[in-house]
Amino acid sequence: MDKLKGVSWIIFIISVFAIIYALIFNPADWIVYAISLVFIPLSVLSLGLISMAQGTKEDEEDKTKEPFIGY
Amino acid sequence: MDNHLYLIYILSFVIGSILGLLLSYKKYSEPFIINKIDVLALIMAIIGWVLALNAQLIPAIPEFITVTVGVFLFAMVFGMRPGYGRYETVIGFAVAGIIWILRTVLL
Amino acid sequence: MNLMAEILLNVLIAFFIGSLLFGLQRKVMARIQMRPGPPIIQHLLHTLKFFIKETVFPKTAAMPFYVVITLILMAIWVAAVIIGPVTHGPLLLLFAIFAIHKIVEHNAGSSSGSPYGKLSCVRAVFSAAAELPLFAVLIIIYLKTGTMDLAGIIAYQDAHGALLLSIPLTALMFIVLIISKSYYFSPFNITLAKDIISGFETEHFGTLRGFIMMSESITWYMLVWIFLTVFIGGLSPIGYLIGMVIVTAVIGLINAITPILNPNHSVMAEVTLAFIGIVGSIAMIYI
Repeated sequence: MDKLKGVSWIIFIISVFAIIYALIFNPADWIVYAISLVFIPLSVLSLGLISMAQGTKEDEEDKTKEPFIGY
Repeated sequence: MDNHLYLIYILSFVIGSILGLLLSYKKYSEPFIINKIDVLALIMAIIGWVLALNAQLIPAIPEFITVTVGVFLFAMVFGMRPGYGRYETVIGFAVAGIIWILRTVLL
Repeated sequence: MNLMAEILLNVLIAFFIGSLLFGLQRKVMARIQMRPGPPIIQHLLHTLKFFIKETVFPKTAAMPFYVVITLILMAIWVAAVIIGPVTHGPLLLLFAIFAIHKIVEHNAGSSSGSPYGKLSCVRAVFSAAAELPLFAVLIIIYLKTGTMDLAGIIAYQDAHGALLLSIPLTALMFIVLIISKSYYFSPFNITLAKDIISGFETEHFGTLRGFIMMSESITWYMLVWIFLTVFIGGLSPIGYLIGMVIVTAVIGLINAITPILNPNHSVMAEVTLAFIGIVGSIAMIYI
């Protein structure tokens, strides 16, 4: 889970910087389209992965040691 | 210029609806059974709709502030617990609509 | 105004209004069934609630495709917002976006490990036969107006009157397409039907589910926006709002009354309506 949170933080900061770059410096049209198509979804998803709730540490072992393989 | 005004109106509608929902659940503990009109909600709905539709009547304040406050007020009534707030919204819209028609016809 | 700021603004407006329109659709369906129904912001609250819940990546999911497919869904509908309200670009690209949306439905189902997702993947391929009306709408609009550009179509309608009145059967085909993409209990939406639990969304839960719901709100806003722009013409923002509310309410009425068709009947009904639309529209243009 920590690896996921670290990767999400990195992607979020990169996306926000890219969007702010496009807002301030006003580059060519196709660069703005490319930035918005790639970095708007990445920013929203990484924000979600940063802010999501997480289970407690004691349950973590139970979840991975005895997963439900019922069928 | 027009577009970001609409985002502010939408945000005030959403925040007003959420507040209306929370407050109306605190106020009413039962689903809507009895046909009573809530006076506070009626006043808020009338003021909200009048401000939202007829913002030009108050030239002192910039129009978008008036409309935002109006939208917030009527969203609080609109977003109340399901069943409540229907009659108040309709009455508020009717009053504001009559003022709007008088304003555009008489002008 | 800055292009990036316009794109961000339009995406935010699309998200909020799309969510409110979904809430309105549920309210209309509930009132027809003589019950109060949920508040109108309920869909927005569900989206935000899912967004902050925990998501786990299942062991049987095909990583990283399982996550990337949700990014693709949001990216194509941000592209639709860029082509539509921001730049009034070519209509053909919008239809390419519909095709990629079908691909996303297919792959989101197959990238999860659940059998419900795989069933939905197969149904998405099956229901691609119902995308036939898309190309027909495009070709008929080109035959009628001589242009495939949104700006050109708006200019044509300023000069000649709304296309809704001159080629109504084409508008009917587009409404059938919109019904097939409406979220709640649509007769033609076989990929998200409740008999396969939630179709391709079954295994995407928590934050990923909230993310998919955000993309679906933008989808709904863009579908109704394209319908209003292509068939009624350039409207003022209040005109768009009233038009979107009316279209959503009518589709809520249709969803509340019609049964949920099984896949064979759903595809046959859509293809039949497309056939009537195509033959009728070409007859109305040339005869």
